Amino acid sequence: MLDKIISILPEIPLLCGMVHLCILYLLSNEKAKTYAATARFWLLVSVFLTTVCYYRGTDTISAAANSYTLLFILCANIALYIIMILSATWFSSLKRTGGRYYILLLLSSGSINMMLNTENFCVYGFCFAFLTVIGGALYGIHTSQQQINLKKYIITSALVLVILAIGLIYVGQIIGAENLTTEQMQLFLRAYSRKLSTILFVISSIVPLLYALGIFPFHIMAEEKACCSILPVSHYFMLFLPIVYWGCLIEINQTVYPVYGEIWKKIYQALALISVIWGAIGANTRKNLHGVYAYSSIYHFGIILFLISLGQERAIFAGFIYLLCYLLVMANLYAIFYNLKTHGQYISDIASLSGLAQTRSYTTGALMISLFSLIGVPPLIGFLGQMNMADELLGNANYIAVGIIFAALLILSKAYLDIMKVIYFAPKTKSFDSENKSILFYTSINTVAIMTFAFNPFNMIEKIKDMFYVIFL
Amino acid sequence: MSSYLLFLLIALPIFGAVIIMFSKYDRNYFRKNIYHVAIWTLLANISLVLYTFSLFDTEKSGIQLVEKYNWLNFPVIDILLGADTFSMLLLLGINIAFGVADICLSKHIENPKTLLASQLVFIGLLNGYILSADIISFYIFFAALSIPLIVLISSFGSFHKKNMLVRFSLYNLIGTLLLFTAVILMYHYKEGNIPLNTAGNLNLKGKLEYFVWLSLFFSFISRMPIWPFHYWIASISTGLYNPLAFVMSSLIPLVGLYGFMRFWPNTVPESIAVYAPLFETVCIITMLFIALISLNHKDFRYKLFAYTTVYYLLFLIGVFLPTSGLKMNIGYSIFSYLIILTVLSFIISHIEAEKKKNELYSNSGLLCYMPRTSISLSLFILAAIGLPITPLFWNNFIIISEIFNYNLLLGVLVMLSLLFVALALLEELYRMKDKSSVTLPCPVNTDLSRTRFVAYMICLAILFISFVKPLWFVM
Repeated sequence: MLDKIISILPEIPLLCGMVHLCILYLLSNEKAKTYAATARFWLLVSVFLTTVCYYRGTDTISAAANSYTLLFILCANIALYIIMILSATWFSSLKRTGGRYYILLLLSSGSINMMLNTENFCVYGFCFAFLTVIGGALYGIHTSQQQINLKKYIITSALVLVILAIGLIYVGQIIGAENLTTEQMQLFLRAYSRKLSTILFVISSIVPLLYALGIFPFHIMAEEKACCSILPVSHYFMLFLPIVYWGCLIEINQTVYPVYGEIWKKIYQALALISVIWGAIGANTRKNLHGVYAYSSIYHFGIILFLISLGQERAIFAGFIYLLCYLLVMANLYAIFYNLKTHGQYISDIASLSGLAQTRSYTTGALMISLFSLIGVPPLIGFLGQMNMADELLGNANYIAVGIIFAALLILSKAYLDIMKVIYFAPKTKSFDSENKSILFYTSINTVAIMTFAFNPFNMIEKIKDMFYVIFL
Repeated sequence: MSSYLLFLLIALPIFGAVIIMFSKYDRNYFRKNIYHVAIWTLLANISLVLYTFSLFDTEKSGIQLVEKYNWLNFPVIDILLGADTFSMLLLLGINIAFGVADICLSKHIENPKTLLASQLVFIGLLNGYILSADIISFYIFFAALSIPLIVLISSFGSFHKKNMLVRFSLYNLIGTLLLFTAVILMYHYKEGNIPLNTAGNLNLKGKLEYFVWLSLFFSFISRMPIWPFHYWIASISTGLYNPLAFVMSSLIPLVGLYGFMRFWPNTVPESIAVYAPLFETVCIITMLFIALISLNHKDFRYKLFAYTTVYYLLFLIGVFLPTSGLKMNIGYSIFSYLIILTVLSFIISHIEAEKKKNELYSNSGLLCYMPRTSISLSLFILAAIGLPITPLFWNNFIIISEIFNYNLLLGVLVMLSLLFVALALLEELYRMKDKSSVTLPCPVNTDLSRTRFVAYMICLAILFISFVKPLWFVM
């Protein structure tokens, strides 16, 4: 009994947080900062309990809890905390409370805890579906000026969930729903690896994750989620969810699908390289910053997928380091968005950045450093990811892949350079609103992190490696 | 103290840049404060360089004062810093040149914060590039130099040449990625980081050998103003009207030249060395081409750019000669070349500023009204083209002699290029001193300030003393 209580302890503060937010709503509290502060407080308590009560339970929900899952949960919740801080300014400026938004964020946090810690595929599938529904609810939050294609989101998500459900039902009927654990799945796949239906099941469980991550050809909603949703929701889709889904993808590949190693390797590598090329070319065709970042994420995620496909511990860890580096930069880029306003309207068009360098030197500096980091210029954090990537690919003699990735990087860099060109050379057409000091402070901290974390302060990478490598045991 | 000395030489300018970036804007004291920060940082750096020199045994060749820093355990990479006499000479020349530049910089430029902060970051990274003693740190600093340069070109580049920013950055990135790939391949071949002075002993075989050496070659050549890369460097340099920005962009080829000096002499495999004559041909054609254009060109700044191009290519040809004895000669030449280039850039900038202020449209006879400017410009142009009071003259003489020794035709063509570019500079000097062509009324208050004049004369004195006794500053 005590085991069960301890294993669900991290979720209790989240529940309390949701109740607290509902009470605030009922009391007609109008301040977005109050909602944000409440949500942040309960999230912090949850994170604290996750770390302290990190526990490998015997129940199906937390049986897979280990330092690997703890690492991803911590990273995801830190990202969520940052999103909550920054989104408060957005809601305040538009005189909205954001109550629904924060409740959904706390729900997401609870879902990812279960999704990562469980070893039962049914629970995993349920959490994935729940996160998709939360995503839809968040996507539905919009302003009167925005046009969102909620129908497209619902249709694509429903299709993906149906595919996942069919796969889980098929396997559940053979081995029983209560036996859909990692261990049982491994035995099942070894026994029936050649059967077409089993292969289709494996595809049905991977495709939803590839769709959620925006890997080609499942990138249908990648740009819409970034561009068409409100800034806090776009922030959520681009920063928080990728951490969770990559954690699941790596875990599933390592624990369940090694039997398909060689076949999956080729499929992953093909999808990865096409994503890299697609992302690089797509970024150049976009006039909207969100669109550029969305396609940029397709490029970078393609590289991470390629590293995971190599199947070796070092390569998979290199993929994780690349992911962390990328997300740190993306966090900064999104923080900069919150300070880009003109006449009270948030800017996302590249053309609207004209003259930014003349009046907003710190924001320009932070943006430039982030873009340089995405290109992989040392000594910024992006270089660390790029070096790990090149080290693994060249060490495994993947010369053609390296050539394609670097050629695509040149194409992608042109998109970033076009942004810099507008910032510096385009004549100023509008004035920018004054910057929020707290966001500027956060941006400065993040920019300093981008400039200094490549030096591996406090041997961070070795500590992360110790937590990550548990998955290979 | 010597344990962190080389690290300090890199960190100090960057620390100065951070102070400048975070300095608060104030109508009365802001500009003065950031200029003082920049100048004192550079003076401190020069003192550090001189102190480091005092710890050197200049009789010994090879890397001294090695510092090792553990960076990553996964993969295992330690960063090595080290210096020899050649690299210390380059460091001193760069820091003195920028010190003079900051003293002579106008206090009324636009955006001084960005300019001075970029300059200090650039100096710190360039110091790191010269002091790096292993292939990974060599690459890191090589690539990192792009950042302040792109910021500089974006902030001070000509609006009409904004597409040059994209081309400059992409060319830089191509060179960077080629070097990166070569370095990682070498790292894997040796299963660890490689000290720079042993990079040539790798004994690579087959396609790997070709790929690595060609990548290294093209990555360094992308920084040199040699065909077909000369166009973008010319566009960038001539589009930068700020003299400090011009000096910084003029140091881009030094990055490529230094890379060749570290990797190439006596280490290039025979299979690659057979292409050397082709490369020399391209070098000499570029030299002649640019020198001839400068004769016809009306813009003084373009003539200065042509001068820098011809001399960099002269040093490059010197690097490729099959002799190992020219390294120090090239070092001494570059030391004086950097100081001369900086002073000339600032004098030309002063002349252009006065022309604009007085609404003059021609340089003719202008120096007649600017005696201090006239003396400074004359002496430095003469020093630039080979006046025998500077180390540039004597060491270039040795380099050219070796070229003649190697190939007579090559030597003749090199001399022709030097002659054309000298004629271009002298022609401009003559036109500016020609009183008979003066038609406009005498402009007022156009001459160099006393401070600048004294600074230029001190530079000349340094050059003269260096000619008489090289390494006179080593205690």
